[in-house]
Amino acid sequence: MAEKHRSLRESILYNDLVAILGVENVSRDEVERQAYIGDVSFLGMVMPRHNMEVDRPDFIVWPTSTEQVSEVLKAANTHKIPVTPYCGGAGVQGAAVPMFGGIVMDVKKMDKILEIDETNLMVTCQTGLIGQALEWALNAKGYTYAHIPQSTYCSGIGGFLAGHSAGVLSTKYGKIASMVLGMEVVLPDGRVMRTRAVPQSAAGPNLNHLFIGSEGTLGVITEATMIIHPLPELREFRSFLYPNLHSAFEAARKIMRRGLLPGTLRISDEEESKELYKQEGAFMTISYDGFEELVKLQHRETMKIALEENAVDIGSAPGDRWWNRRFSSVYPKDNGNPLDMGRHTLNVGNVIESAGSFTYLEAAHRELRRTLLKIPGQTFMAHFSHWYKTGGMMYPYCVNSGAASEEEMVDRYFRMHRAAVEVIHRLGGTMTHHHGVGLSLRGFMREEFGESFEMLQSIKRTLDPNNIMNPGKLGFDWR
Amino acid sequence: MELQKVERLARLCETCPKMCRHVCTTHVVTRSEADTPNERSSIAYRALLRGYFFPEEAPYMYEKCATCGLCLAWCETGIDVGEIMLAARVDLVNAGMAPAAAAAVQRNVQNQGNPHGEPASERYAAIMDEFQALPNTAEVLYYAGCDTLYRQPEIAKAALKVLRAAGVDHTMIKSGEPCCGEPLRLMGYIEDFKATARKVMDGIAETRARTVVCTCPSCLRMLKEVYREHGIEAPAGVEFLHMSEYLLRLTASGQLKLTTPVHLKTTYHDPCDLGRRQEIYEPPREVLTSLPGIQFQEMFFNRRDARCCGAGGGLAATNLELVIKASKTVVNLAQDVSAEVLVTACPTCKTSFHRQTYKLDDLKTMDLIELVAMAL
Repeated sequence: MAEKHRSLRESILYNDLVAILGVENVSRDEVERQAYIGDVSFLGMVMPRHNMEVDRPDFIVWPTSTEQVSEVLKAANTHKIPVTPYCGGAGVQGAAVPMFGGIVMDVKKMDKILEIDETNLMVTCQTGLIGQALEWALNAKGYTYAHIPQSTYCSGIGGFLAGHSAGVLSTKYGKIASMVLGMEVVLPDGRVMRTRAVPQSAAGPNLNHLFIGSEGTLGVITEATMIIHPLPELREFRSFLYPNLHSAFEAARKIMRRGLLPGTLRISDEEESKELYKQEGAFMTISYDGFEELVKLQHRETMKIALEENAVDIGSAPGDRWWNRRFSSVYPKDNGNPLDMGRHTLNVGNVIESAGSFTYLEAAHRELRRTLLKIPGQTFMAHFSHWYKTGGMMYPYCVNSGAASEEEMVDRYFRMHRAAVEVIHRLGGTMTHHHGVGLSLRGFMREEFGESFEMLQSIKRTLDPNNIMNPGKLGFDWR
Repeated sequence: MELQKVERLARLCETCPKMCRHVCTTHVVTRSEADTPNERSSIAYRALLRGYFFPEEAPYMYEKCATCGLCLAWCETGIDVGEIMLAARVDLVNAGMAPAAAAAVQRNVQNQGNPHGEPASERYAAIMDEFQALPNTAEVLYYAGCDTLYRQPEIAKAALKVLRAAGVDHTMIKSGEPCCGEPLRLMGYIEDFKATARKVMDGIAETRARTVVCTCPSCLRMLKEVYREHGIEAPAGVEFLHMSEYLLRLTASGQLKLTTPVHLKTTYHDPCDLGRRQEIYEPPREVLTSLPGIQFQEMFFNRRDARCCGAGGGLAATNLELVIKASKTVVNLAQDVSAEVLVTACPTCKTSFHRQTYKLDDLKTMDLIELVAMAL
């Protein structure tokens, strides 16, 4: 790991950064730079392990205050050097991969909980806080913020906001965007802006929504005020086996239409039901949480709907098991983990978790399955979760094996995405519900947005004229 | 390479999205991605694949892992990154790349019989009168360990006082208690570790004790489990207990009577080597809560989830700054429950916490045995 040759310009920037942050918060250590080459996306994590060369960031910085974030961005503008904001690095689309080197700004030292307002059910915190750390702090006082993605142990508030994430309880509690009241954002030129932490406002457009999902391309989110909830008295699961996917969809539609509010509602297609539950049909697991009478009442109503759709009641055990082991699929396994590509197999595994209406979901499942299985070495199964009155999300789980080389793996990866996105857009869905765009989907943003992408691009050019903020992401101008 | 023995663990760990970063003793302090268990495993795995370490990688193997087992506690795959680090350290020693701090520990144990480099002649200085009065052989051997004798001799004083009060036929290794060897193992000097382990077993045999009682969980773990893993067996029929386990026996049999009220608000910290590593969670709590007058409240993180004092894995020798910062986490948790005494059952933990609490008016650190001695 030979020390790379440093230019005078790099040395000057290093010293500028040290002047802002202190020497302990700036690193150009070789080992540390290697640790920040990517996230857990296929492109950011797996390919570098397959000896695919990637650029390492030049510097890692750990700001401890909003002011320091601002000063670093000003310095980056002066030097016209890229800045990639970084929190947990647990994204699966490559949004935190520092494509062009430069500065990686790790916000994890900004991890203070500034206020837990029990009267008004709000928490204000800095965005470097890891999700589970916030959840524990709230649990200790009898609250939850109810945002529990599978990555809650390893990802942070900044990543949730920048990636527009969703947790496993989103059907009841919403995605992160509906949990956030106010935010503090450092704009690319170093200016600091805040939005008001109020329940709702009619004073013009909601600027929170410009930055949620912006993947670090429009600024650095440094603080957030979010809604919290008292810990539920009861959380209860029930599982059903439907004769087929269509009847499970019908049940989900009726459950949402009836006004029931499940925490989780998860349907496996026939392939996944067979794989995970060894059952013929479509498996549904549903949970309700809250005070006991309401939980019981909602389960009774769900049972009526399930029986209308000829489902078999499987009881509470599979749901309890799923809840207790809801993160299990993320942990490494000797085989079967889509991220565990190893060095000895050539697999491409990924998901394109699209969302759309109930009508869309059924059609897209059929069509995506048909289309993707045409790709050599491809498997396909899917589950559906994150429901709304109008529709929900489909999460295909695809593994592709048998590519002959690293290059072919990457080609197949993008071929899979191209094929999937074409189907998704043709049928009226969105290409991502909560994983974001990153490097995987950046090439499809113009198709997703249509003509309105130009407006988004012009906002980017206005806010970030030097294109320093996470260049190469979200479909914006490359370098 | 020694790392070959843990190849599977390192390979799998490298593919994880870092599901234990939220508890890792080091990462919680430094927040750097390089200081996650996952990245440490990745560094080791890359070294294994290429067959050697780069010099700049060595500090990440030595100075960043407390071998506290918190990563293992949260890993559904069952990966102990501490185990990977210890294998890496053996390889670094073999390659002549161990850092100076590690070499100093090895030298100290070899020359003075303790990792701190304190004079061997002062091992019993704080308990000299009691030590000299002990017989050469006895039913019960109290094995104190280096951290107790050189850093927290009050623990040894209290232990001897309690054993005396209970009328236990007890002694220490009169020919000179050797270091248990754990510091050598932690620094990668595995052959030296085995040599010192043999000395310890010889010392135990000299005393003809049937029961060995330790106040240091790390010593206990070495004597009871780790020596055997390295093919070094204890004399036949000898059992090894932590002091808290032995105290429970003494109180249950009525041999030890604890009658003096101890009016203190306490909380208990599970030492890594006693809790996660040996699953001895309840005996210290049972002893503590049985003391007359005592008040007790659990910290938010306890038992399997207890945070590390920071001084595991030899970090007190290689990265004291990190230890100081990590120990603050536990002290803050104790303050959250308004404890007056942060009780632990390990001399190393006590030293770590004492660095924080000595300057506080409302919180101090004590070992369980010291409170027991107060209740006699």
